[in-house]
Amino acid sequence: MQKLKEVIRILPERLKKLLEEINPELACDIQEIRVRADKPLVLVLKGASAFITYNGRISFILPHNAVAVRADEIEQIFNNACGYSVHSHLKNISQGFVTITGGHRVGIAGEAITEDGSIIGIKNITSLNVRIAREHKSSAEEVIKYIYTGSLNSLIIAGPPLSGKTTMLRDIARRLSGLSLSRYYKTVVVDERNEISASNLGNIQNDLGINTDVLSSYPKSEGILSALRSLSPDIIICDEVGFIKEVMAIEEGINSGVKFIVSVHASDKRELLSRPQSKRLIMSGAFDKVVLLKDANNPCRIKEIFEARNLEDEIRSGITDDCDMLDDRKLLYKP
Amino acid sequence: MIVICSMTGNYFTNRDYTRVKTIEELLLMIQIISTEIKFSRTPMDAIIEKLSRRKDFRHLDFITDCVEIMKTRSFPEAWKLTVEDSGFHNEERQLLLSLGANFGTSDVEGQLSNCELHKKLLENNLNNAREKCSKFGKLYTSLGVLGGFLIAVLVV
Repeated sequence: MQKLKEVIRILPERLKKLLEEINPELACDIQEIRVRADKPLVLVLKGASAFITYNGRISFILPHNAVAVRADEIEQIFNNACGYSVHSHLKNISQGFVTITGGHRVGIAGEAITEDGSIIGIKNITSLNVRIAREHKSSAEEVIKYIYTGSLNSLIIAGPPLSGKTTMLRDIARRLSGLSLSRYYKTVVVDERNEISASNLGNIQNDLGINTDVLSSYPKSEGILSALRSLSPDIIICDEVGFIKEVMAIEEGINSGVKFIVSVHASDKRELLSRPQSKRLIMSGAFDKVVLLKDANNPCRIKEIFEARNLEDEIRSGITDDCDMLDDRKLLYKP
Repeated sequence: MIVICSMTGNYFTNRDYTRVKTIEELLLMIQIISTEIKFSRTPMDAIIEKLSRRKDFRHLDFITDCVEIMKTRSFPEAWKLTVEDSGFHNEERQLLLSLGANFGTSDVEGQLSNCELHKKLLENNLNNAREKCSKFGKLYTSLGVLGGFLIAVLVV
């Protein structure tokens, strides 16, 4: 409920009042608030879209009295999300999002402003998607035993949207730099979008443990190289990796003896082995294990764990089209 | 009677002088905002907070009030409320309201243009206020003293 309160702060008074009156049990299940100009307000609860009526009732079928959002309210929400400081968020806006206090991400859709082929801003904003960040302090309990098996391992955490990848990275950072593995590991979080740390004006709002350094708003590749140069980490954690520059930075780190825990988007093994980003990471040889998470209905729950070298072999042998053919014995874990 | 009339004259002189000083401080404030936006991309709430800690803004109490109100309300609301309550000359008040309405709602260039435009308008006001101050400053004081004498003579 506290997380929802942080989010509804940016909504206009009219919508704020409606959401404040939602049953607290239901409110805890809200994962996203989606607003579109002149369209009904959509709440995403456990992966399913729902609507809210003027009397505060939530319905999974569009009711005739569903609350709609006006175009001027979209502008107000956007300005509130930026803290009336659009100029401070230009880099993120051009990437399509703003991170608000509490680490919640507001996705932006509108008309792109381009210059020399790259997006430099967004105008005429038509919809916003507010994703509520959660902090589950036990989400990494299951995965932590695969990170340390006599020595530290490098790990890829894969999962579909809302499967809890960032939440899990946060808990891993907290545990590694705490005393979960009999040592206070020197942990560096390269937090390009400020979602892991929820850093705001130098104030790290999420608990990332006592021995964690946070590089906020750094481009991942530069953050990794900067951490390697100056922070002597045992382990580097970053979210949504996959560009060639980032993989190269990771390779440099692996050669310096640093371990990595990163996340990538992939709904299942087939996607994991066919998406260029995850494929590139697996093929880099830098990782020991790959953890595949379930889905939005089961956030932070492990679906499968693979040995990275087995996946690498599979990619090399080219049998990525039909994953059902893959040998189940290569799985380390299947609940 | 002479003292009261002299004080009234002084009041008018001081009012013009205070307006000049206020505009000078407002110009400095806009300059600081521009610099913060241009070089540090500082968010508006942090800029206002920084400004409120400055000791040299003797006539800009509204900034401190704005910081207080921002704890519970959004920046534009806080700005509007405190500027309207500031007691500034109407021309400066209108300029500050229009400046605040566009604060933080565009990219860096947009913000700098907004600051530049309002700086120019304020400079105009400053010239007028200075002219008025030098033209009527001594006149108000002299009129006050003489008026006092005149009333005293008439009464006696």
